[in-house]
Amino acid sequence: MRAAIEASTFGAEVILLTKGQAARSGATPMACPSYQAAFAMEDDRDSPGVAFEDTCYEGRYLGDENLIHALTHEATDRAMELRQYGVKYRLKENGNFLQVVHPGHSYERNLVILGNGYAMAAGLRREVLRQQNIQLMEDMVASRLLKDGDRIAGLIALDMRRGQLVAIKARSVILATGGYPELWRWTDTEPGLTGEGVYLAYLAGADLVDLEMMLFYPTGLCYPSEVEGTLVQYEGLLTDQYCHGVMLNGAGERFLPDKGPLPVRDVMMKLMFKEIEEGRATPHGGVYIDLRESPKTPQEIQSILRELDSLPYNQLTDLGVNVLEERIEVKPVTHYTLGGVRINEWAETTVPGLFAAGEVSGNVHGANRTSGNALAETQVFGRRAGIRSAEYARDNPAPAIDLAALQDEVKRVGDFLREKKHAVRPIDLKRKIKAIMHNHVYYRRDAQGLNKAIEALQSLRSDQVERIKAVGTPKIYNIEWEEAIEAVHMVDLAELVAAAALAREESRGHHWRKDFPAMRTAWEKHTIARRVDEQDYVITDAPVIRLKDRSLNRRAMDPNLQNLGVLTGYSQEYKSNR
Amino acid sequence: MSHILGEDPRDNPVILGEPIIVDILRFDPETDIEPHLQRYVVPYRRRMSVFTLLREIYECQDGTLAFRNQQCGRGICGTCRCTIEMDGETRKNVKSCTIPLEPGKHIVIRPANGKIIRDLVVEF
Repeated sequence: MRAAIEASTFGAEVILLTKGQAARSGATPMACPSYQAAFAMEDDRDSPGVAFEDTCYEGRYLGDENLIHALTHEATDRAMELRQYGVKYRLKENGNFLQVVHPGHSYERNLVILGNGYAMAAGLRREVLRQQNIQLMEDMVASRLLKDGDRIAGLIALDMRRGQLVAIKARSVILATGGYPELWRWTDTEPGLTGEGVYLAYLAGADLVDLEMMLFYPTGLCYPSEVEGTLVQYEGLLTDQYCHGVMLNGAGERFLPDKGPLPVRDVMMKLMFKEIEEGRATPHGGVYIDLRESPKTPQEIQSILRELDSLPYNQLTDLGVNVLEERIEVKPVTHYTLGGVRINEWAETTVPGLFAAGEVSGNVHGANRTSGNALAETQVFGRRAGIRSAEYARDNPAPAIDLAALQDEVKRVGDFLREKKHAVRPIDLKRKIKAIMHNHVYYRRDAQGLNKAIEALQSLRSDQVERIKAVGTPKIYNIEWEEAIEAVHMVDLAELVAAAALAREESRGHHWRKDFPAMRTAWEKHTIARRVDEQDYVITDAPVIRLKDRSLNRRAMDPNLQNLGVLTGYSQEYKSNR
Repeated sequence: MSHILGEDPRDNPVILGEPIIVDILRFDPETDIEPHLQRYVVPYRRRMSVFTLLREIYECQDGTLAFRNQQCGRGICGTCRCTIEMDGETRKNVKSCTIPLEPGKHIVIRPANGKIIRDLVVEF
């Protein structure tokens, strides 16, 4: 929506497609209230430069530094624009923004959005509706990008409200579709995040980058079943500045480091999975967060929760679980796609006229992401994509639509409704994909498992994709039809993810290999997935873009964390020169 | 949160309680003149909310049921709003993911206020 606003302001005619209802579907409305921006309201030592270094380091030096520079230096201006759209941040008594510190921030840097990501999305939607040049089309499921020679020419989408396919001709296309956490079983994200944006870009010939990097958020609820996967912010629950709760394994023992700051997400998820893997899980397969052991009083905790994010706790209360009186069970869940479509600092992909902004893009954060940078990313790169795509549309003639490609796609998607022998339901195909990813491409990976995954996905494709069948009628708002479009793309995308994970022979951030447990300097580069033809793809690599010489200018890993036994290779290879 | 947590629910032999009897408003503007109620009997395999009940019907009994499926699971997004009759009480435009269901209940689910696109999906 930020991209549409910018392009419209620039004078372009914009069509904004949303997969569900605008501001009610996708990742942003479900997001936590955190927006990272170095305003330095709490601590004068903070600055965009410090945020830049934090982001490079916590991304395990895998993020492109030109993108991180844009992100950290423009997040503040974009936050102020959000405010003009009516988004409100929590304020202090003196009227300044409240800023809170989350793991990986050197200083208090996260703004707290009143009403969470939902309010941010609602503010953007209001601004979209105020713009004269934006036509909003909701409940549209994109199924293919169209091309004219090398450049983009538009797209085809299933209009759920009318139950028919729609082709849209466009001089430029911006993907802001989110990532693919839905490839796994346990995720805290919206179920529509099935990765079409990433896969459609690949089909159109764009480079994909670091697909193996899927961020596991440490604390998704694993009980009760109504709220499985709901995210609770460990940053607020466990740090001593806030709730000061403790994390315990199934045996009731503490296992987090007792010294130093709370670990960031990649380290947390490894420590938690280690407890689970070694047989110290809770009855529902997670670990506990216990607020009763906090030195703070229940009243204090309650008011902190209200200040930070009370929604999941209200819902737990409705379900009869009182977080102040009983411990809750949590486990790491897929949360944010670090990999995705490769972009430059103007959100341009490798296909002329095709842009990508937000989670769908890949090389911004690196191998791990700190809290608050996802919402900031949507605004910074949304604006940049909006400007550049509007310029592209102004400077290039209208493309021609490839009618043959259009007909093929209409037939392909229409065939999902046709009667078939031994038909496969889309939901069953999704279930199989998720099981393969869960069994072989989960938080710990090895060559044997990854090869099995690739094989299993290839056989799914040859056995089942042909037989995929949604209910034929009614066509209007046919969920199975939408799921068929998603599931068929998910098979191929999952294979690319497994292949990228196989290529990266090291452990870095959220990519954790059993057979290559150490982080390796030689692998401080991107994996690139590129389409060759209908059948084939290659996984190659590309250097990380640097603004600084990192052989000289690099932060050392905290010794408290090195000693935990989950970060091999970080100590030997990383020199302290800070 | 994903709705698809591994196994097909039908393969799960555990039954926690009496089934839920639910009447759901069905309406397809292309073929129907008037909406009608359709009855489903849903086994109580796990703790359910009204939303997870709809998921269970879609997954296990009727792939033609239309309802808004993009959901936060936290009572934020409001896409799962509908009108529910339960225990002799009508609750209008409630977020179905926040309403727990006990075994053996009989409920009626109608769309929230707004123009019906199909079944429980409305423009709002």
